[in-house]
Amino acid sequence: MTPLGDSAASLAPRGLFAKAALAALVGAALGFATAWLAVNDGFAFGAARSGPWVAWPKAGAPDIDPYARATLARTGAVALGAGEGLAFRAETDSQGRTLDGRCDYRISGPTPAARFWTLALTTRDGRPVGNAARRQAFASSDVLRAADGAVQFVVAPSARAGNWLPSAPDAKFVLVLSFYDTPLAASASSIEGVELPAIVREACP
Amino acid sequence: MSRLDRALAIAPWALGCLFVAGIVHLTTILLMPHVATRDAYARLGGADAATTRVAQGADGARPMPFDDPMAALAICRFDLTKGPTRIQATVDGEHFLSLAFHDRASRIFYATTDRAAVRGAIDIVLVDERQLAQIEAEDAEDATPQELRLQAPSPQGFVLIRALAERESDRARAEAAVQSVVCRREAS
Repeated sequence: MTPLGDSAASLAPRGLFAKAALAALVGAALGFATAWLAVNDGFAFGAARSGPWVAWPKAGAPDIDPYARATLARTGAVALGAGEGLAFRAETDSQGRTLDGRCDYRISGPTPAARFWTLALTTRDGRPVGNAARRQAFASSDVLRAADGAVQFVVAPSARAGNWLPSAPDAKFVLVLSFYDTPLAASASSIEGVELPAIVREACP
Repeated sequence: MSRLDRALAIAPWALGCLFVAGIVHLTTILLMPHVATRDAYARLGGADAATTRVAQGADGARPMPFDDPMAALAICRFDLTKGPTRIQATVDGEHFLSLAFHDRASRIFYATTDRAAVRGAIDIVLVDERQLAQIEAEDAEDATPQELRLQAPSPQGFVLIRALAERESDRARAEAAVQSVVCRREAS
């Protein structure tokens, strides 16, 4: 054996150990980081989309997936039970632009059959928006309807006629549309075909 | 060493790294519902086997994010190790009232609304496997049980009681409705 081979052999275990420790550390960091990303940015899987609206029908069912459970546990949110109803969220308008508190939006269109529904406006992290009108939501029993029964909402930072839902001018927002006692089946495939109101951006500074 | 040799030398370490990442990722996701300290169970508080109102701020804020501001809420915590828990509600057939049964780890194992009420009443007994067997053994031969017996997947959890205010002026009625739901421990 040459002296060089000798020293390399005695160094090898230490080098191996360092490499293994590094691999384990990097792996653990990667694992935590991906888990954090998966639960902090909404539900990872099982989304059912209709236009700008997104629902997670499985989040309220007994066969909820582990990622949705982790997300609920981490954020402290509760889903609507599959037997109670179904809630949709929209973070963008019908053209895919993020909902902005400075702009005016018109929300109108068909709502699926339900005994009762509500439309609420929240911040991006789900808190209500305080306002002088003390209006955070509308219930289906509380809206002004056109002669033909159609419902139209206006989201704007300052007062508007009709069903006005106030937004905070300095923040992005989320719309939550909840249906109670609805035959919307708890399966993503049947929800994707459901027609929901369009969110149309109007004046925007 | 050629580039290929170097890549081959790194490959097992990269694979090991990904393997560790996968295990840590899955373990974190699966453990989260069991170790989270700020989940709905913790945020809602409430007493064991008693109906407790969930207060709402002036701006509609509640402990849980994205919750419907039009809903009035009450919570009934259960701990089946101390005995079965009975939930009774009287409904008027007109206003919405729902019950969602949550286990301790962020899962709804059962949910129902006033539409499922029998003769204007909802009567549910939460039991574990042993208590269910005991109750069934005590049943009279030909009697059909009047209540729904629901076996909980975990000994602890909570029932979220929800009523909807049809307008702002209807809120007091909804609050009274959720608080009128009875939640009590049965002798086991």
